[in-house]
Amino acid sequence: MIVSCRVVAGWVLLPVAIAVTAVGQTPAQYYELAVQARSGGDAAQALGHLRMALDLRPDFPAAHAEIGALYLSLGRPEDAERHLQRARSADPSLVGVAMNLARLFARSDRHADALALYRETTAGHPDMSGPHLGAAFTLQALGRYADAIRSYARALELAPESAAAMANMASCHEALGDDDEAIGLYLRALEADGDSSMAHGNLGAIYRNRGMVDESRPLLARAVELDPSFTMARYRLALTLIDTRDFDAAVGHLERVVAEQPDHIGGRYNLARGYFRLRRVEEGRREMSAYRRLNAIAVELEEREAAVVMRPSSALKQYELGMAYEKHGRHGPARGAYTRALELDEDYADAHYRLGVLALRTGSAEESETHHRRALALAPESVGLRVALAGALLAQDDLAGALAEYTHALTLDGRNATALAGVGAVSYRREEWPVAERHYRAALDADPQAHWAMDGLARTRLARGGDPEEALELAKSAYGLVAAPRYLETAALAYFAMGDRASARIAASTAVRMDPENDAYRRTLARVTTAGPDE
Amino acid sequence: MRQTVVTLVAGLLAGACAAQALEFVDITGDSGVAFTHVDGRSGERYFLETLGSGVALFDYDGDADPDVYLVNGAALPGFTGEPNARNRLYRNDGAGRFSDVTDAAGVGDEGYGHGACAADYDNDGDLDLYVTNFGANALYRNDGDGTFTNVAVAAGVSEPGWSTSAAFADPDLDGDLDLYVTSYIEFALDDNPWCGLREKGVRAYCAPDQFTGQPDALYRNNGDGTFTDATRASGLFNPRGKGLGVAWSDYDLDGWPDIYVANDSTENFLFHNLGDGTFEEVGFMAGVALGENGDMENGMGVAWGDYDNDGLPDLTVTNYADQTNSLYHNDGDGFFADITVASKTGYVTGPHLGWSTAFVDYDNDGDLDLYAANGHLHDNLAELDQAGTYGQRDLLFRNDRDGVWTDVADSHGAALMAEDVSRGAAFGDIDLDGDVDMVVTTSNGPARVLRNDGGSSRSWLAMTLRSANGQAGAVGARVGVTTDGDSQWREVVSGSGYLSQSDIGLHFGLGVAESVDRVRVSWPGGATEEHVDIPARARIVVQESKGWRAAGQPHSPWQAPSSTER
Repeated sequence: MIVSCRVVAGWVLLPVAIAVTAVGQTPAQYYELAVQARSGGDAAQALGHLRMALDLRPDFPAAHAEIGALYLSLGRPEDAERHLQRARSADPSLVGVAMNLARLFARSDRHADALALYRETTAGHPDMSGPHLGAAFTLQALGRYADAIRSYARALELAPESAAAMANMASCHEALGDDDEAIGLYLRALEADGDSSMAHGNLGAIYRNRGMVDESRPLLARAVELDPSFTMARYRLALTLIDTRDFDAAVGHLERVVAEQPDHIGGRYNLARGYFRLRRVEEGRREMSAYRRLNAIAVELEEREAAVVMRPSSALKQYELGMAYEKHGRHGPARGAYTRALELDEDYADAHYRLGVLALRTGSAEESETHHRRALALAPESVGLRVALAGALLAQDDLAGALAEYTHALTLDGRNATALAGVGAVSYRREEWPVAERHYRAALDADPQAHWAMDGLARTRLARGGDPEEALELAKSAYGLVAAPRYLETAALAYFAMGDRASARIAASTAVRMDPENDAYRRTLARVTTAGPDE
Repeated sequence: MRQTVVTLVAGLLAGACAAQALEFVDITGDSGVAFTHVDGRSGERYFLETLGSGVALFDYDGDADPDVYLVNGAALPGFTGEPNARNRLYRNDGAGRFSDVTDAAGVGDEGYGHGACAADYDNDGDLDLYVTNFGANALYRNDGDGTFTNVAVAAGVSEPGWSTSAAFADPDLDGDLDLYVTSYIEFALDDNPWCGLREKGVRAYCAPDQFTGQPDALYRNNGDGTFTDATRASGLFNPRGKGLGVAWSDYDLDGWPDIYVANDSTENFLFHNLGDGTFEEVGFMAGVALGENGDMENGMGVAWGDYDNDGLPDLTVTNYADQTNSLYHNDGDGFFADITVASKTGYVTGPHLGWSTAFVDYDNDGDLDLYAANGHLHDNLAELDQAGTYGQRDLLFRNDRDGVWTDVADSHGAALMAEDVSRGAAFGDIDLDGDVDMVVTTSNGPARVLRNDGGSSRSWLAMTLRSANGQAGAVGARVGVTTDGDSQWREVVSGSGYLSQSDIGLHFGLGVAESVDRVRVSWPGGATEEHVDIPARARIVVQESKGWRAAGQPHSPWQAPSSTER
């Protein structure tokens, strides 16, 4: 039985110790204010002070280090890396900077870079446990459990009471199938830190796997008490409750498990069973359907992954795995699979194409362009690839380049709806409304189901001051074909133009709910919510 | 009171001594069973080579001891070994020594065989035999004179696909036995896909998910020697299944036999008999379709048994390596609890690849223990970069009565510790000494006869049943035996485990009890009879509406039931 174990992240943002003596409007003073703001939990203010400090003194290493750490905690890795690298080049002795940078590398799957940095740090500071611990975490993430155990052991020599090191080391032993060793280490971790949720949870899980239900339940309950977001422990706790037929309590935990992790197959399955046992049949059937849907995905991915194991040097199998991941919305693993396909066959045009599509979806238009150009070099007559390249160029506001590619595509296939709508989009951006409208209509003539052309035409009609009801119908039709938030935004704009602000708000807020990260939808919602009656 | 204490202590001591002394001894060499399974391998890795074959323990000649029928494979394209592999029937002399009567009996089917089950489908008082094959199956009608006739085609049950397990029961309670046959996957010898690590050139047997499943079949007995395919009419048609194991039981005690099917890599089925000729698949809702975490496991063998003596049949299913065998407790109201982990069997079974299984009271202590036959299907695991071993030891779990089970194989003789590639297994008292012995088949290897020495130091009661209409065995009858106020329940089944059938007679371990308070028989159709004053350590025959008498004594008078309900 495979034991699902939790690995404590263990990362600690290291404060950068800089003596601040200056007062007043100096970089040092801004830096100090930033440190105070950050320790007070006001990240925005800290960011403002640090920016001021760097405006005044662009080569201020401590400020770069601090703002890098701040960006890292805010989930802005690119900004964080830029500043941490500047801090490090200005003052290579800043250990905290190296640690944060290594952490950033590890988080972004650049494990080799992370390991190199940890090793460099351990070489320079052999008596610090932190770098050994960081290296161990990274090795563990890489699945190099034996190496990770050695690094944890070294970290424990330097910091014998590190419960995190013991618990993670135990987790590595579990992964290697040595549960007895793991149990010993978890028990030691609990002696060192009686509040270690990881040690409680993982030890409880091992005990339950061994059928020691009575021993496992209190451990799992304590793990959940210490860390309510510890999903694995909560799930196992629910199983122990099922063991004693306490279905009410189990269902309560399982509902939370699937709320926190909607694709938790075991959670869905046992929640369905729990509902059935409680005679909540309709809820049981609903969860049973959810389980079956998730399980079908898991089975498909498992089969694709197995095919890769059987044919590890087959680019096709990697590509098919990527397609399966992508089909089920797992874009990160899909990118990994496509990348491996290209490592096996650099001339795999389809893999370049899919990477280009995914890159554009995550906002990396330049990367998208690169992949589409490579793909086109391999298949220059492909209309689809040319249209995709045009899309990447359009996303970079290269209207001329996009138009050239769309036009080229139309010379290959004059009725390509995507290319026609693309010309419409370029024309729309250039505010050439008649040209845009003509091409959108041509696209719809070529493909009456071209929802993106419907949307473009609707927006063009609105921009031209045309009949908003016509625009609304187009947006509705587009949404009927594909439930995309953009089409709701168009509908919101149409409602707004018609003076129906209530409907506009509903449409816009729904778009925001569907894609909370999209600034444009939020702006539209703000506009239709706050605009005065005359607007 | 004082006497009771003394008796109990003496009994406990006797029990403890018996448990220590109990040993399964491999008597194959002396038994006369000289059978080697041939899978027909040639290196082409035909998928059907992996399944192995089953064994049926059944008393074909009515002399009150179980005989042994072993199913064999056959040569496959490219096979260069001995070409004349065929099934074998071994006649028991009553002391656990066997003679090969295959030719005389006419049951040496030469198809690529897998499973066998036995029951009296024509109600003529002797046990008939059904054999499943890759290809046409055989129905051997027992002619009552030591010979059989294959009537599968005329009876309409030859089933041309890839059949695996089979089991008879009377789901419509019309007095004759219908037949459920599991079918595995769509496969053709001339379309044998290459599976394995292609770049290393290591070929392996394919996984079942690479094939399409075949629907199982229910054949309804017309009562005239023929059957009608009632699969669709009864709501049992399901092409998603890849059936390997099947067992009937009336799990909800509503009087109508239900069906459990173990499927390989798809959900297992529990077909609830609605009593109107149709079934409803309720496996998910009942909690027996999947593993504890919702995993679709590779179900192989299946067995029902009331291990906690609460009157409700519980369930076990064997699975692939790195999956635990499943153990489900029947909680009543149509629900089961997955107690695989809590029973401490899951942790033990995980590394093993399980096949046949059975609840059996090997130590006669009054509760059902659990056996699982194991062995991998890949003989080149290392080349495939997979952990595990091809040969694996079987598991014998002793029921500790507190919901926990302990694997005790290592304390009951070296024979149980042999790392073989086991597949089928059947149980019965072959030497008639009062404890349950077993026959285990090996894939591409010799079948083994394991004699239980010492189990009968505890008390026991063995019985065979016969319906009022003369049906030998009385499949579906449910029997409760009460000693010292405690009751235990068994159900007569035909076909169980994996590709196999245990002796159709019922065996009860009675612990220290030297008498039986009461035997209660619920006959198929609803009649219930109660018998009292039955001795322990006895072998009896119970016939519906007549009563009981000692087995093997056809001229002794019937002891009438003490009470009857209809």
